[in-house]
Amino acid sequence: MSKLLVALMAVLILASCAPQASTGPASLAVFIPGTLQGSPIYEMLDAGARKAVAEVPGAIVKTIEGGFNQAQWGEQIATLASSGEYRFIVTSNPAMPEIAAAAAKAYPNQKFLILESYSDNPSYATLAYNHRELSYLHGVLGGLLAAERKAPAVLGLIAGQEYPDMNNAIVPGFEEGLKAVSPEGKVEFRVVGNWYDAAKGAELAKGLFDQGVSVVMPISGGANQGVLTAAKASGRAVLWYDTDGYAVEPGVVFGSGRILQDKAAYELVKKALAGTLEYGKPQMVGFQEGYLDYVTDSPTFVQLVPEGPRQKFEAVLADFRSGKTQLEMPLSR
Amino acid sequence: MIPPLVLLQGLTKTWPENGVTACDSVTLEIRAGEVLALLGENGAGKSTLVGLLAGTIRPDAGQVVLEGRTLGIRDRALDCGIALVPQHPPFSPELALWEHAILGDERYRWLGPRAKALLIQELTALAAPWGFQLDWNLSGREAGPLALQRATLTALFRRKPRLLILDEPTAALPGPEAEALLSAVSLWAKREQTAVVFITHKLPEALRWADRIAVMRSGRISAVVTPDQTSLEQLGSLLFPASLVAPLDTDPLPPPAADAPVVFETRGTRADFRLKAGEILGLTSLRGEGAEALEEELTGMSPLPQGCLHMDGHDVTGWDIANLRKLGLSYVPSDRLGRGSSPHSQLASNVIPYRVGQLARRGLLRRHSVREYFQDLKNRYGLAGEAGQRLVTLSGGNIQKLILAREMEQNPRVLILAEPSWGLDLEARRILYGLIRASARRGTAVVLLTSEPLELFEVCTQIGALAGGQLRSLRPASQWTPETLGRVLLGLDS
Amino acid sequence: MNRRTNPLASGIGTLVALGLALGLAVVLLAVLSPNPAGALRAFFWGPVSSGLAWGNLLNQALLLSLTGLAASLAFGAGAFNLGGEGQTYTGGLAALALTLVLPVAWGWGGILAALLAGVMAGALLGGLSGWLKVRFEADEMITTFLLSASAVPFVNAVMTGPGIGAAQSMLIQSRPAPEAFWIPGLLAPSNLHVGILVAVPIVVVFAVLVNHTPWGYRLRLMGRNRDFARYAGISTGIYALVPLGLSGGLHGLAGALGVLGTQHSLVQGFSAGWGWNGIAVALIARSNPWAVLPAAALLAFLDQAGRSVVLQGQFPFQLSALFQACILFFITARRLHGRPL
Repeated sequence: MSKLLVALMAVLILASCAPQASTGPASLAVFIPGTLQGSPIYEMLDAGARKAVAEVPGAIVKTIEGGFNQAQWGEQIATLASSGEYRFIVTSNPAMPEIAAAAAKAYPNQKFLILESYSDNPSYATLAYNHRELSYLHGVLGGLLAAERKAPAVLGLIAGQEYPDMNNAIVPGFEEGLKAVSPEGKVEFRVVGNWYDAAKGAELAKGLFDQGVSVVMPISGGANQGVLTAAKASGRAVLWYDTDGYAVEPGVVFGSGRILQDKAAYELVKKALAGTLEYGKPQMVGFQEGYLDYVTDSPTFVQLVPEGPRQKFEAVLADFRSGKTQLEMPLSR
Repeated sequence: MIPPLVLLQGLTKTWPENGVTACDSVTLEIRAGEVLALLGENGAGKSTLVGLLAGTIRPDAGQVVLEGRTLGIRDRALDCGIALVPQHPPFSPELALWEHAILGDERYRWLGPRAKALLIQELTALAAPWGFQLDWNLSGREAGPLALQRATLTALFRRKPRLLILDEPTAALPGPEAEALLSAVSLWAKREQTAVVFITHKLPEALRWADRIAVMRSGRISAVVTPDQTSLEQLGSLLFPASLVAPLDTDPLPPPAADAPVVFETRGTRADFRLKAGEILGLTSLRGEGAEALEEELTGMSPLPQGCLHMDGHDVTGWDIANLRKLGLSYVPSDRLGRGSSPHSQLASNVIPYRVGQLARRGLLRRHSVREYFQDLKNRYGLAGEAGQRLVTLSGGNIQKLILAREMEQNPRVLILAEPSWGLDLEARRILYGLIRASARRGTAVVLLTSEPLELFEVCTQIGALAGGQLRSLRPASQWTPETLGRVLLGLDS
Repeated sequence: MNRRTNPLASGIGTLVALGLALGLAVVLLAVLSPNPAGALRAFFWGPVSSGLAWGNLLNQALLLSLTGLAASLAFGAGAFNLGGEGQTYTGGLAALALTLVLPVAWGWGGILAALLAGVMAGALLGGLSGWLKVRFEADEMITTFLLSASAVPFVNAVMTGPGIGAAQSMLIQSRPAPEAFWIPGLLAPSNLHVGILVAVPIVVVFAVLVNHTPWGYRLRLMGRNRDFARYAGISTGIYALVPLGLSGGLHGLAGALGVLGTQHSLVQGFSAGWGWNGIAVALIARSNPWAVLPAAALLAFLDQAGRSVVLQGQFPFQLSALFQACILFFITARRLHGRPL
């Protein structure tokens, strides 16, 4: 029996020694630094890329999940690049330019489409979102809600980790928005330490609620769920950062921002496949360009946020959409 | 003639590990309503016989016939009606007594509170006629050995046994409890027309409670008598017959000079002695009566509970074995495979622990030098096996020879041997005793701890007998006879 | 001689288990992958398909040799070191922290000092368990595991803290070590570097020490039968403490090499799995240092093969761990049909 297995093994090994095909139709790898499940931002990335690929006959796309171990992403990207199989590697994460640098250097013919990042590396086409604008709007809504509840003007922000965009853009933007409503307002910032520990998220949220915070915005991946649970138990409000989250926990999520990652991915990939994408020229987009938005047409939003604050908020939002108000996104290299 | 309740026919069992025939075609009748006492010294085969009866050991030949029905391999003895209360009933400190009662009972798959209450009720009812007051909810640890024994007994009665076997049931019982127990089982046997077999070392007990007494020697039943046909003295001599002492080596050892220094001595301990170079002191007791403890205490494996130990003039009380070895002590332990060797290592590895430093050249232990050392030892001591062989593949006797060679090769000042001839056949014993004598001739002081009194007469220059954990009498070998020794061991004399 | 005692027979037994394991892998791939042929090709050919792949494979094989040797040393002496994860991670932190304070002019001296710091950190963790065992008879299986489990969050906290944390990075990692202390790489951009090659002589040295010296003899005796070792006068205290300390030290070295050679900074979770896989290597090698190198190579191949399959989109990500577990299960099996392997 074991001899048979060994023979089978040998045959298979020999059969699989065929050389790789390196030419063929355009093919794309979508690399997810994490998992698709439970990460709307990555699901949108994947959806947008696939939509663009579907429009080009013969083009292929493969989605590869990289898992949560950040230390391995570099190795994985390098392996994808070294295979020469993908004309484009599409991914999204502010850390990706850094992580893929070695691979880009070693395989200069590999092109990378990196969303949610800003880099002038000639191998990359990057698109960054103006997080300051987005979190500013959240801050405005948060401040209005807190005032409505007669609660102190303190908002909570629970992040998966600290990183430059978070520290330099999102947190200050959040506070600015709050101060626009209540000048004495403050933001309480907490860090989970990773992107998946829901229990820790719940713990941190509860701590904030005990302090009197009435509105909290979680940006912590899988840990968001814990924050929702704690908010539901305490009857507090949650602002959902970058996707429509009203249905995730009805009655708890009061406002949802939106990063149109699927639109961005679709357009970037479409350009790449058509050959019209410019590399080495990072783009920054916000409300005016149509890649950031706020979900105000949801019946839940209308129901939960009283008329007065709602109208004030929508006015601010309109200014951003029209480009009348613009905020500069600090770039940290 | 009424057929016996239980008939043992030609039961034979040889242990493959050491080739010893523990039961040699044993045939015995056990009659309904009787109490049979089984006597015999250690190694006579009592435990094996009892195991064969109770179905825990499978015989090589022979059978057990219970009420006319031959028990087959698939029959579970307890289900058929043979119940055994071992000397140390298995117990778990955590489990409650009622849980012990149903250990291994396959009928219990789910025990709800109601079923448990019924069980405890049943157990209490069973225990009552015996006068056992037991709290069945106590854990094994809380209950204590006496309660455990009673619980085990009661639990067995649930199965309505026809034959009850008790292995040294009164070993740990004070007088009145021992009486009560034996009286109770005796009445039970008569009333129910069942039978009881009990193993004991206490001759008076056997005479008082047994209807018949069977004596085992070397795997055979050497005698079956009734109490009125015999006496204490006769039983003693049946157990320790003078005729079996036939010395294998008639070269007498030269006695040490009167002013020779004392090499090894103890003071204020359970067994005080003063041993000179070239002497062979034999210390013996019945099982559990003190010799086992001596092994641990004299070798530094356990601390001396009281008193002091001196070696070559140094006070070595409390010294660990490592340090004692440095002073010149060697030790052949009773646990050959657990303590005396590394069973899964090679033979060569097993003989070099004290020599590794010397065998290494420039820090490296060369394989061939180790093998050469083993070969040398093999030639001089007549060992079996090859250097690369795993130790477990050797027979018990050969393992013991190897251990002995290793220990003696150190040319020790003091050599302590514990149960060295256990499981060895006659030939191996002959060689063993020869080696011990050779060692003594070279000036080693030898202490031989054994529970086989007869081997003392083979080699020892002095013999000490322990009973009840203390040394009762220490005399030169020439001043002992097997009967006098037996009497001291049995607590009849001191 | 029976099969259990014949080393050749037990080697064949391992191969049989390996064959079964690979057979299971093939079945899993065939059943669960959308493209079985592609999956098989990715599995067997992926790990050796390019310079990058070779580099990663070699690096992992050598790292696992170190942690496998570490685990073998402990097991061989009868001690259970389950703290490899924490010891590796702490070793990495110690090495990195030292590079942040040493003068850059030290160059290679600095690298050696940092590696030594990694060794010491791991050795302290392991040795602590050894000491607890000697002094309090604390079960080292538990203490090594608990100490390691508490070391990991400690390192996580320190590595992002003031002085060490890299505030400008998007990754959870420490500041990078100064370039003077970077161990030169090989087969870029793979993980391989010059420093990890030291694993080979280290394994050889320990193989000789364990199998051919008096010290090694006593160590192995402790592992074979502790009671006999004590009876023979071997100091059970020292031979309990030293193996655990050495084991921890080797783990720490692996962590230090990983930090200084591959990423040049401490990235959170970089050493995840090195400790546990080291134990797997030790099990395959039956705690014999001579067998550690081939066993580590085998395990590294399986690991890379599994990753290659996932990376080529041929296998769902979550199942790769299951896949590895199945393989390990077979390889460490000791009995087949009741007969020893």
